[in-house]
Amino acid sequence: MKLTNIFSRGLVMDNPVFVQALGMCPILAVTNTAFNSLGMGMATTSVLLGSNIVISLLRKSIPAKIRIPCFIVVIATFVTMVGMILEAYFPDLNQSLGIFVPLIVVNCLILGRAESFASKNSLVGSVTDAIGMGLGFTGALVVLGMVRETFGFGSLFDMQLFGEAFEPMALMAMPPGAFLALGILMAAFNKIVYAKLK
Amino acid sequence: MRDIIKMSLILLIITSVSGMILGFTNSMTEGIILERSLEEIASSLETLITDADEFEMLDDEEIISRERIKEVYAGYENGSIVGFAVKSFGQGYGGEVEVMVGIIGDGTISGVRVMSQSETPGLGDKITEESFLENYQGKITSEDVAIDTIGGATVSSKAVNDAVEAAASLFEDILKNR
Repeated sequence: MKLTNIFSRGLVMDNPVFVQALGMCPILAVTNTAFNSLGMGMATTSVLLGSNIVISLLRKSIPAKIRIPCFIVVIATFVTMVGMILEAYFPDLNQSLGIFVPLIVVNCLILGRAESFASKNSLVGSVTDAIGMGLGFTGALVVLGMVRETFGFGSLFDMQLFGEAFEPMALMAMPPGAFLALGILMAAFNKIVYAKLK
Repeated sequence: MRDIIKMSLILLIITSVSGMILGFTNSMTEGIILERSLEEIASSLETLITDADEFEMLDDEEIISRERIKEVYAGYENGSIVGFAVKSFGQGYGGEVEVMVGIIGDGTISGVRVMSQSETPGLGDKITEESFLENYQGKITSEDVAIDTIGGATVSSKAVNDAVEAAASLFEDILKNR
């Protein structure tokens, strides 16, 4: 498969959030503001990139029978590293993402890419796949975060958008709002993408 | 049999390398994390006991062994105690909620700050907001110090209440007489 295809597949056609609906826990939990979404997206992308690289390099030496524990160890290592780095250099972001940083370990997007792509493909392909999928994930999270922050807090990237008269829709900042916004965005995304395909 | 040994060895190698990498990352970041948390404690102490010019950590057995208490600092102004800052915790929804409670004079709460928490983003983590924490200001330790919980964050708010109550009772039982 051509690299551009691998890349655009993660970004659009097989978008992890809008098409595959993978990693729903962080998608729903930390997208209450655009900044949190961006942080979570970047953290997940860096873990995905690291795990795809290592697993692609090790793919010939990992026996099929123990591949899942091997993948999990590699992924958990990267997640722990990202967690330490966030704690040391970005304490505010770490504080607002909270428990969802260590939970990146169980994000099925990462194990999914390890199992279905990195363990079968070359290093270059796996890196491209990780960047495409990671950006697709981050982009979707940021869009969702922007929608929720606009309605839920009346701000965008912490900048107030509306005057005093704006009454924030608290629902959008809470989990039900995440489901509603995600559903509407998913419908819109599919409509646009599939309209283009025809 | 040979297969099992081979697989165990591969897993062993992968986990050992991971362990080494993590140890290395930890030694790189540990110092920065510790330094930041010390800075955070220092700045909390200064905002909670504004009159004090010197702080001392109290670590006698009597204080530290009390339930829910982590650390206690005394603030001095010209050598006499003007207030205490008590680091205590309560059990929240996502683990321990650690707070620093400032108590000045003969038992007035000067403020409460959340030091660390892992409550649900968007719900439980509202306990870090000033509009919630400021309700503790001016409470008297000899009376009921609990404040109204936040809707949707009952467990998390109760954790803060528990922690503040522990600090208040520590003050009433021991610190007051110092």
